[in-house]
Amino acid sequence: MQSSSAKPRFNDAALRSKLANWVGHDLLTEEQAQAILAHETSHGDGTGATERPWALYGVVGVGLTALLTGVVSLVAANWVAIPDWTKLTTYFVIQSGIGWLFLRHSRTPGVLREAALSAYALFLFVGIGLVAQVFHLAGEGWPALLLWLVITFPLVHFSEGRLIAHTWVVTSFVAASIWAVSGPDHPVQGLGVFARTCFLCSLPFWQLAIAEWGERFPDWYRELRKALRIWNGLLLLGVGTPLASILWFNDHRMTPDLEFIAVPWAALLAACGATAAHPHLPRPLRIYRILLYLTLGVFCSLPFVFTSIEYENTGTKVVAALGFFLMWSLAAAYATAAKRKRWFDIASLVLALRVIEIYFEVFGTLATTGIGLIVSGLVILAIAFAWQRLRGRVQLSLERNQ
Amino acid sequence: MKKGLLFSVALPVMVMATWVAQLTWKSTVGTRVQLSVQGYDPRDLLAGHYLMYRVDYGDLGVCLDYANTASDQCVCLNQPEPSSPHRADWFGACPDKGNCPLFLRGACENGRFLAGIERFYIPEGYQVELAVVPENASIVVNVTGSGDAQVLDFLIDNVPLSERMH
Repeated sequence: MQSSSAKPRFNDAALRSKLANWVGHDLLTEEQAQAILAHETSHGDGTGATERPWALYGVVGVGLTALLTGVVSLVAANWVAIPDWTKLTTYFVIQSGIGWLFLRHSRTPGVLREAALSAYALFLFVGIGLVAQVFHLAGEGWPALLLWLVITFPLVHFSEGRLIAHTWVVTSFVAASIWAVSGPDHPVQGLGVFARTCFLCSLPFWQLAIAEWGERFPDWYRELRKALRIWNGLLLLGVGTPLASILWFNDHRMTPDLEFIAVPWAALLAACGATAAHPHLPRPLRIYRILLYLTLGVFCSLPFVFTSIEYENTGTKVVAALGFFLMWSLAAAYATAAKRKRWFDIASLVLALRVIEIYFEVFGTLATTGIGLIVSGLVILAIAFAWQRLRGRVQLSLERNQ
Repeated sequence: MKKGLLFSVALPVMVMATWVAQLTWKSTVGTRVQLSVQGYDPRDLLAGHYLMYRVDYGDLGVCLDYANTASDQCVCLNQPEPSSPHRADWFGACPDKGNCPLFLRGACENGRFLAGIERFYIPEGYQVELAVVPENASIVVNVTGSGDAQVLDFLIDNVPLSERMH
């Protein structure tokens, strides 16, 4: 029961009346009615909206922002005059303070806990930058990002929000990309650009393998595993397929150290193995994922097997287009099997756009004439119509399955 | 779980503190040397917040024969006159340096010897006056016994940058 001193935060009487009515009609039991009443009393106003004083928060927020901006401006203006040790000590005090705040609220899920955790992890970037500035450290930047990735990795496990997990994954790719394009300022000496690119290309597969394998431990790094799947899936389809097409069309063959192609393949096979052994994923989804990985691997690797592919060779264009269609068709099939209509929409839209692009590649010269434009317009309309019909069928199928 | 949480929060601060302690130690232990520097176009997004320069190791042609990369290279340093900047009097792979008492460890990249001392952070207010590295500029570097170096100060006409800008 609600205590008499507690201030009712919603239309208490109306809810009690409705609950009594529903209990009277045997729609709810007395226990369920009490549970609903207790929940609404403690959580909100019964309409889904909370009664937080947002206006007050806004005014306080403006005041705090002005205050902080003033302090930051003051510090920035006198930055030279502040001794290095003062800067470093202040940094450590603030960093530890945020850490203490997080520890204090670590048992209470909510905005404050996540904000403290995010601020703690992100403020480490400030610390790394400050140390680099105070001690005049030079470098390509990736060691600094790697340091952040390592020291924040245990923290990511405790994050229940998305910010830190996604920041961690994106930072890992930024660090790896800088490393891949940087000069000899890295510990693994003697690697050429191609070899480093191979290591970079293996990263999505390694991360996917770890994410899939981690499904055996559902309570561990829950948000990070989600972020790994999202970003690496996007990278494989959104970057992998255009990259593969470019490789097929590129007439400037590098003289790569071909043995390094084994590195992404090892990662790819690890991802396939982890997917095959996935404890919860239905079998069709596992098969589609594995097929997608293998297709991408073959599609990206084959251009390096052929030492000379001429740009004007029609056969090359056909293979490139077929590979693209195969991968995005697999993506669409996966979306259907996973009952993800939006993913299916995106995959089928990409396929439709690619068909239009091919049409203009082959019959591009026709578009300069009136008849050609009419035919082109009809082709695009036909594709749009077919796409819409296909979407409708998939939606219907998904609704039936549900 | 609680120990794990405590460890996760303490780890970053401990690592950062260790890093600062190590850099502080590196800046105090070793030999202080002065090296001439020359400016070049840094092509850097953050240019203006720090100076990037080429260290002048003298007439030995350090790394000039290396078009691409070579790591674990050493430069043996010598001071021709008591008040003059240090210069290289030997250059080559570190295992071949013999009994060189004062040396810098680094790597060759595109004809340059890089030892992690090619950057000096400056206050934002100096970026207009220091758009290019001035003439007669030099850096003060602390070199440890293992050849690791750390920049301590930036001099213009042998006057520290902070004093010069005041």
